[in-house]
Amino acid sequence: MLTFAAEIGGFGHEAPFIPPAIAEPEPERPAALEFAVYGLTKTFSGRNVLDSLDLDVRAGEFVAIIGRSGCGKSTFLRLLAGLDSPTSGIVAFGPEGRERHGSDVRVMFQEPRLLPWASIAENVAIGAGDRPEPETRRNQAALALGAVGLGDRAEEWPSVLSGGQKQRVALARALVSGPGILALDEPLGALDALTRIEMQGLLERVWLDKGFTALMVTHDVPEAIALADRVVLIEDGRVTLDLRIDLPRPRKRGTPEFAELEREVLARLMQRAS
Amino acid sequence: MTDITQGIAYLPRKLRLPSIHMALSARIPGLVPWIVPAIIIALWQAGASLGLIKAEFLPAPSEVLAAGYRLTLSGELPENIAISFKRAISGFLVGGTLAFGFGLANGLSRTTEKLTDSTFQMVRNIPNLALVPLVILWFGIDEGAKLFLTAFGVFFPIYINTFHGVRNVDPQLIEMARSYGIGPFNLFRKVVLPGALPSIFVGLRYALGIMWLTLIVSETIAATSGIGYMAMHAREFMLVDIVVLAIVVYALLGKLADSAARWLERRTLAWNPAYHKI
Ligand SMILES: Nc1ncnc2c1ncn2[C@@H]1O[C@H](COP(=O)(O)OP(=O)(O)OP(=O)(O)O)[C@@H](O)[C@H]1O
Ligand SMILES: [Mg+2]
Repeated sequence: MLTFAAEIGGFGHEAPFIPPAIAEPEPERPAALEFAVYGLTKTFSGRNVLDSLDLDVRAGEFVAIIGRSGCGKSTFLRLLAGLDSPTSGIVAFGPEGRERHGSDVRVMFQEPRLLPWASIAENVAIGAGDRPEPETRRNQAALALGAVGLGDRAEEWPSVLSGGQKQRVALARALVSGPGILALDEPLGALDALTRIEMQGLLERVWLDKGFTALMVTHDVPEAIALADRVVLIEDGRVTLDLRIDLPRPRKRGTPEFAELEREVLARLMQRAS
Repeated sequence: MTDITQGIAYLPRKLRLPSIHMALSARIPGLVPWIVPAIIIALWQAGASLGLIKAEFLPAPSEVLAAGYRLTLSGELPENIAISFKRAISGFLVGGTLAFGFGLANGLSRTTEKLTDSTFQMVRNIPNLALVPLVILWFGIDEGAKLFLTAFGVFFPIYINTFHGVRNVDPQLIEMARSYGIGPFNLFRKVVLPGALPSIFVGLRYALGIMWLTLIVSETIAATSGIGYMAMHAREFMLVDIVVLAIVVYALLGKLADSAARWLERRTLAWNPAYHKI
């Protein structure tokens, strides 16, 4: 703990932010990854939460997952990330449909899950896992913090940050890990409307820049339409709507096309509710 | 346990009388905690000087001080303090190290928990001083007796708080770290140990109290040196000033140990908002 603090101590003063130009080249990271899920089933105490779910996602695609509370969205992400194992079914990664490797999928949880005893920089560096040496970790953390606009907060404790800032740190941590697939479980759920829209912009920029495959759970239909290439609805444990969103980016809310898509998705959601 | 711990850590700062504290500490920082002891000593001295307190029962602070001076010059006091201090530290180190080791092991592994925890829970309910007769039979009035009793007393608070500290580390944080491919060693170093520290410190400070208590009692019963022995010996010759001196020395040593623990706590838990400077 003490050595750990010393290891990163003074980092903020010596190298507050390393501009991308001087920084070491980013270590090679997995490119965007495609994945496919066949007949994915997860049973909790006799109840099929996911019931033979199929989904096929292309590399670099942004997919939004919607569905009523308790329909199994989080369960799906956890199975995808290997935090839990399916009752039956197959999850296959890459063009050759191989099994998951350790660093294929990263999860950004609904809560920021920052270590309160580690500085913001060291929290971000967690994303680099065990392997890289301290120097690389620092540079990567500084880059990622810069990318989410918190480059000057590296040496502070997480407890001083606002909710939105904490989520940005969590995003930076996920970015450092260089994910092939980033699974986001309602990452903006706890934020106020304004911060939320800012974060959506940030997410879109980061996704366009890094090119990972993104899978985001959200309860906010406009958010799904603003960000995603596809909106997927999970009902009764399977995919019951898979809608392609072809609006050009950056997307403007309130255009007739946007409103039409929003109406369509909402109507589909309500149809089931009534 | 962790919640309670943090509750304890939070409370005292908030509960201190803020206005008095701030007004005084603005001028004489660090002196505030000494006001009450100073008043008590002044009253005590006044009472003794006026003859309200009989010297056979409680000698004046000035006499205690004089006794302290005398015994320091003769070398008796420093020597006994050194002996008691050494006993306290060695008992603490033996008991504390074992407790920390078992606490970590049982917190991290269900197997060793199953194997040892219920035994510890059973033995824990024996007041350590109830062992005094047995310990004297085993060790006589050797150093072994003091070491055993102190180590025994120190063991349980540290064991239990380490164990619960490790068990109560937020599972969401552990899952997060695992999901980023953090291996067991770094998981322990970066997540589990720092997460358990607040609880471990509660155990540490509690153990320090027990350490002195056990040592005093075992030195008064089974020893030929040390502060406790000095007090018992003085009692036989009705040297009340030395008896009181011994008690004061114990109080100061106890305070010293606690301050050291607090200092360590503050340094290590700087991330915790409860420890931020006001
Ligand atoms: N570990 C578990 N043990 C038992 N049941 C579980 C477990 N995890 C999830 N469930 C159940 O599975 C169902 C789906 O849960 P899940 O968390 O995936 O829902 P969700 O779609 O993410 O909901 P929300 O939108 O509210 O987050 C729920 O009924 C939940 O009670
Ligand atoms: Mg969920």
